[in-house]
Amino acid sequence: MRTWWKNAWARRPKLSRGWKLVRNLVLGAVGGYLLWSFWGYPLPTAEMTFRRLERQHLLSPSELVFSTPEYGQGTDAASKRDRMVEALDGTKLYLEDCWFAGVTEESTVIASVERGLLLAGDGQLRGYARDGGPLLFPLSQSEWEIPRAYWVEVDYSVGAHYTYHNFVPFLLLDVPGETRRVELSLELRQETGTQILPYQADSWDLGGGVWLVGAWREDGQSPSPWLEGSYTLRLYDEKDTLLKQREGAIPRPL
Amino acid sequence: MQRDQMNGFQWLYIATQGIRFKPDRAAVRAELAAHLEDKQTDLQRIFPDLSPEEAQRRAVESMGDAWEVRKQLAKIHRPWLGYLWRLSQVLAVLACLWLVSFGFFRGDDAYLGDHPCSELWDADDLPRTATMGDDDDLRYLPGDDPNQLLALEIGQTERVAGQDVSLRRAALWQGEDGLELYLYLRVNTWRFWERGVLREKWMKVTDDRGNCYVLGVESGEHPEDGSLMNGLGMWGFGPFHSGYEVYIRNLDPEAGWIYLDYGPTQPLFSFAVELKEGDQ
Repeated sequence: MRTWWKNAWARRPKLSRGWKLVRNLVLGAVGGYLLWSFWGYPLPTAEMTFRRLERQHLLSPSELVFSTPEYGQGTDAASKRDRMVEALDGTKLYLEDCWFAGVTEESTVIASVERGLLLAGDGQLRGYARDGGPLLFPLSQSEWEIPRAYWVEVDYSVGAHYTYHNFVPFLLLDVPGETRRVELSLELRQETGTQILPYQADSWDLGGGVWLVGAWREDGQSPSPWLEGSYTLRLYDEKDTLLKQREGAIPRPL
Repeated sequence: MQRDQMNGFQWLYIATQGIRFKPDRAAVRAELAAHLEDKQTDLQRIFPDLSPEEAQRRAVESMGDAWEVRKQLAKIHRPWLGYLWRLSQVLAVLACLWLVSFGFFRGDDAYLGDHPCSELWDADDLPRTATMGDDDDLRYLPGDDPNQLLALEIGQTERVAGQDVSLRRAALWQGEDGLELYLYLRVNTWRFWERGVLREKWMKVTDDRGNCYVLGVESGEHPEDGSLMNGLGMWGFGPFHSGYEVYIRNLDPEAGWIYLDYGPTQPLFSFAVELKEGDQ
């Protein structure tokens, strides 16, 4: 057996270095494919993952109107997964994971993507109908939990005292450019039971017709992750003249 | 150093110094050293009175100008090729280790995953995997069962966002509680890292009688087994395809055409199936 193996090994075709190079690279490619597939085909950037989600859902590329940075947790982030966006008034707002919002003529897509140290992992995408007017979209992408969102208040009067203000995040899109103030009242179904409770809302202008809205209650109660409810929206210009009023149900994903 | 007074060691050093990839340099140097030694040995054999130093000097002379040889060797032996060769060796070893350990730890389905619906490709053109032998797939194949009213091979295809979506087969059966329609859709792409997905909520099924068939939870329960009346489910999938089945179990008996429109708002693709034998 051993002699046979030795003879067989001696009779093996002798490849030139060029062909050996090809053989090795093919083996490497196969191994690399398996490794890549094992980890769920991560991509270099979260935006690439967002675009891939669109293609996987057979959607044409949307116009990106909102995105959080790939990196950059900001100095006050509670977690490495949090991403900081800065409002036009300088408020630093933090969202868990990377978020993207894109629009087409008839729809809005909102996606969240997990971003690791080196690569972007999987994500979830939801589509909503769009009518060109200002619309409120929930940033909840899971039936199980609402993504972490907060802004940080720092009091330097006694050393540095940090207060984290949690909120339930929404995106307000297609806001007219002349809007200077947003007044929003929300009612959301609670996590347990069927109770619907009013929420206060803060809003921050991110520019480009995009506002981030944070809903919260003094008693800290959380709404159901489905974020079902209704809202009344009023937009005011710099002279505090009412520009637009809108009310309706918080949209459900298509 | 004068070029005509160079000894063998010096000649070899200069001639091979242009090869920047160290392993190649060592290999070429060894080969040239063997040539030099052979020449020296031959000279001493032919001219026995020749001293070893003189024999070496003549052997070096016959090897040519060291600087010229250096230029030529540097042209042939590019460093990036050498490094690529090394890299490929490392990759090949890592790949072999990974392939072996992958198979060892994950067992029979190592390379497809242990999902029961995974398959390399849709060899049988049926929703479920070819190896499963699932009886549910037999509903699409023409047979003798008197309850099978229709088994169609359709093959309509639309290209959407770089993916090919095709309606492969349709089958109409007489169930205990009414007509049951099954449709097999497949999404294909060579870009295995972004295999297409279909969403139940985006699929709209209507017929020529104006009926709209709701899919999913809202379709209600089938009286026979309590499962959903109508729905869209994913079955066999592989690196380059995803297989889906639309099932309607309360089909209007008078329906002659079924229309599938898929999209969140406007349809991204549409298919129409005439419920009779013949080309579709």
